[in-house]
Amino acid sequence: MFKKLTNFSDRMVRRYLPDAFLFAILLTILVFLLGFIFTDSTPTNMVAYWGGDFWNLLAFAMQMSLVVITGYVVANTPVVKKALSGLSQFANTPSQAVMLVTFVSAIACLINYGFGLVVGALFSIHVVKRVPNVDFRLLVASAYSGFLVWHGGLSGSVPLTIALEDHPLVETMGTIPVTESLFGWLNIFIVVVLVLTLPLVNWFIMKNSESHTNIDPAILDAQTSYKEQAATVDQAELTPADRLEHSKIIAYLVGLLGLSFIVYHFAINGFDLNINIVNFILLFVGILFHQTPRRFLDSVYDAVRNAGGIIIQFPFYAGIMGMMAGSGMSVAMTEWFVSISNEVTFPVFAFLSAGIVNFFVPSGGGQWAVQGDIMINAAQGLGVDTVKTAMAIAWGDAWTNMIQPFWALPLLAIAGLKVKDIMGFCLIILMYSFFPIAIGLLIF
Amino acid sequence: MLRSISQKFKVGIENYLPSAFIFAILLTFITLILGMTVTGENLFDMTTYWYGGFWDFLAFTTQMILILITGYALVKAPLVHNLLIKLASKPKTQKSAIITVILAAAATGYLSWGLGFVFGTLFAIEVAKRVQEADFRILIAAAYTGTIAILPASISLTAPLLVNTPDHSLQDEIGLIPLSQTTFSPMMLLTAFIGLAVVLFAYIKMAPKKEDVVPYQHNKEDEESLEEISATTTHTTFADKLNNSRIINYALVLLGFLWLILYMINNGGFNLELNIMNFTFIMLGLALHGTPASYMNAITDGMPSASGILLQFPFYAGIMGMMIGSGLITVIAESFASIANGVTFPFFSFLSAAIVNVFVPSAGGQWQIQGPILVEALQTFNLPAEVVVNTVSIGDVTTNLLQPFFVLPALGLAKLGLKDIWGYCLVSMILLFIVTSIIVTVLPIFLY
Repeated sequence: MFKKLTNFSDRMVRRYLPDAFLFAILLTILVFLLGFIFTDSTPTNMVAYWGGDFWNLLAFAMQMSLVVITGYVVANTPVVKKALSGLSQFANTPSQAVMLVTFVSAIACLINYGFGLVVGALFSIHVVKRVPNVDFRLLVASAYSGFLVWHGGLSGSVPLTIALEDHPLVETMGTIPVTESLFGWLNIFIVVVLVLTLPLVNWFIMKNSESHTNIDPAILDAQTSYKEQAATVDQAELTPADRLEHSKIIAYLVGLLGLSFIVYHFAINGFDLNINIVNFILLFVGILFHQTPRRFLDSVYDAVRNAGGIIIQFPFYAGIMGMMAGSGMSVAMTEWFVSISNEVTFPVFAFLSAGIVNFFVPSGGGQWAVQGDIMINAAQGLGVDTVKTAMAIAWGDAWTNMIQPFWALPLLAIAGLKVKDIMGFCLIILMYSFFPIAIGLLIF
Repeated sequence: MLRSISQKFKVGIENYLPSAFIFAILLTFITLILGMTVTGENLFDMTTYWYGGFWDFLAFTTQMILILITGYALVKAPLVHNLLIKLASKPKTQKSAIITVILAAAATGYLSWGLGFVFGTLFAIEVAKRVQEADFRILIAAAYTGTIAILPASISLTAPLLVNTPDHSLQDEIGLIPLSQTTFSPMMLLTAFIGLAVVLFAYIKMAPKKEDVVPYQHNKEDEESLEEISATTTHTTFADKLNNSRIINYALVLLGFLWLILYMINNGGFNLELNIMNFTFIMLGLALHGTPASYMNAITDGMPSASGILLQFPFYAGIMGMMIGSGLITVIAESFASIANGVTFPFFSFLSAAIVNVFVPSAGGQWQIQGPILVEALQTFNLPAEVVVNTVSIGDVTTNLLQPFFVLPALGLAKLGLKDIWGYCLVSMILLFIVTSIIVTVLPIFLY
């Protein structure tokens, strides 16, 4: 039955899931139509709400782009690649391989999701070189399953955004330090349960799967071998300007400047983590670990492609937000949510609705932009903790990423697979993970 | 004569020109040290100022990247691309190729610097493919220089747009300045059009002799990329059909143009600030690409050329944070006020902007750093604020021929190195510098 289900979902996803950018456009048109059908707004009003707020998320778009780019850059440093190669020595059998990849990828995604996605893909390749008889598709799916926990980790867009002093909803919910969101019991419970059980779930899938996709690890060598030519540049050929670019001293000096500020920041402010300081840390760790400015710049150049979608789609999310708020639909939806749920069930509803919205708005930050205002107002109407509601939305966003391919693309590009190769397995993981998250939201 | 000078420069100073990112790093340390020595701050105060400013350009970075990638995507639209190829078939000789490239780059650069750099380069490549007797390198250099020359009058010029955007950073000091005082002012128009004539003359004189010409090298990739554009893929799944749906695409474009009309009614015309430019480009790009999927592909392809902006803006924001936090900015402003007088101020403003631009290549970033200093210095003299905006803009544009920052996307597209074009750019810069020095010094005497 598992197998049938997997095949079925796989076909459906491939046939009906359009690109993320198209979703942004469809949602724009949908909200526009809903606005003048169900509220008093005229089409002209709706256009004005849309265009007026179109550029409201400019800074936020850059913060989100930097999360992906800095994470990607750090994962491609020689230090991290060597560490992954070393870690792969712990896998000797296919069972161990699947469990280890899941665990390592989950931990990496807790640190930073851009980092985790790349680490997961690179680590799968290291492991398959050591354990060639493991099903490579499942291995990459396991790596992607680690992405389930990212929003409860140190790069979680919602908890880090609401920790800023000037975040968009500061007037309704105030600034929430990460000690209440990420390091609250609710989040710790869900993260710990998932990190410990996901390897077992993937192992269980492997035992029940008939798939045996073996690959020749040699074809993946290009991804894991370091750029040797960069390390062995001919010093005699270099102009003085080139030498600066290949100078370790420059990279170390800048890295040191950055790190000294980070130490100073935490010494003065305590554990004040927000999206800006996380991006700052990863940026300077990237410069330091790449050792020369040239290698760092090359890595940034490769990473930037992954931010194109964010930069072009965020204005559309902002426009949608503008129409929702301006037409009064936010208020209507809030009231509807309040009417169908109670104090106990609301967080689960928030989680489920976030899971659905995530299909349309795969970026965690974009999702918060579309949904945050509505759900936080509803939570206040019902007397539910706003932090818990924010985390419910965060988890809903992370949850359906298992069957929304937007974020899998960088990982798949490195592993050389297609969405259809892993989404079948991911659907099973999605079904399982509903339970720990929902239970967490109900009991804490 | 110009030919031999430009050849000599090509093997000269470029060895000592590090990349733009290293510039940003070195400037960070120079500012750090200046802050600690000149204004006597300690290291931790300086790093606090640094971080305090580091993320101040977040929204601005997104705007700048959007200008670049939406310009790129627009050029990649089939209609625009076909027009490009048609135009590129006109010139037959090296001389006509150079003139066509410069004029085309200037025409698009007039609309948007992002468009000019991207369109100019792509156009130069297409021309080079067809005119084998023309030197490829000089065509790429000519395209870049053509855009630079027209920029003082370009409607996308950053500083004039910024000071015309409500809530800009210096609004309390200088208020909103309309474009008629800046971009469309006599100073800017004269500088741009005389500059363009000078550049045309210089490139015709610099063109290499027949035996020295290195033409464009055809390779297989070109033929494939041409086919790729004309090829129509079959859309089998429902998801594919949606991604390539023209109805959804044009519904959105319609919405976009409705907003533009509404915007024009509300603002009494087309107020060309960054956001409305980007908005127009997105909608035009979508309209001309025909489908969301095609547009998104073009955007993704354009992204790597934005990596420099994305990475360096935070560093320039950090430098600015240190300049303001440590009080260095006041020190500089005061020393400027003390050496300039009412007549020489415009020239000093121009000169300082030209020098600072070597270190702070982004026009917007530079305005953020220098604007406050010069506006403060201006208080002493009986000159209007737009003099600062205009002279800083011109100075900033001129040394972009020396500083490699903005030519990087062009070099990436043309697959050339800086040394291939740098000699031509430097000669043009020297000529432009002389011409504009005269204009900015003499013109204000008659105007104010």
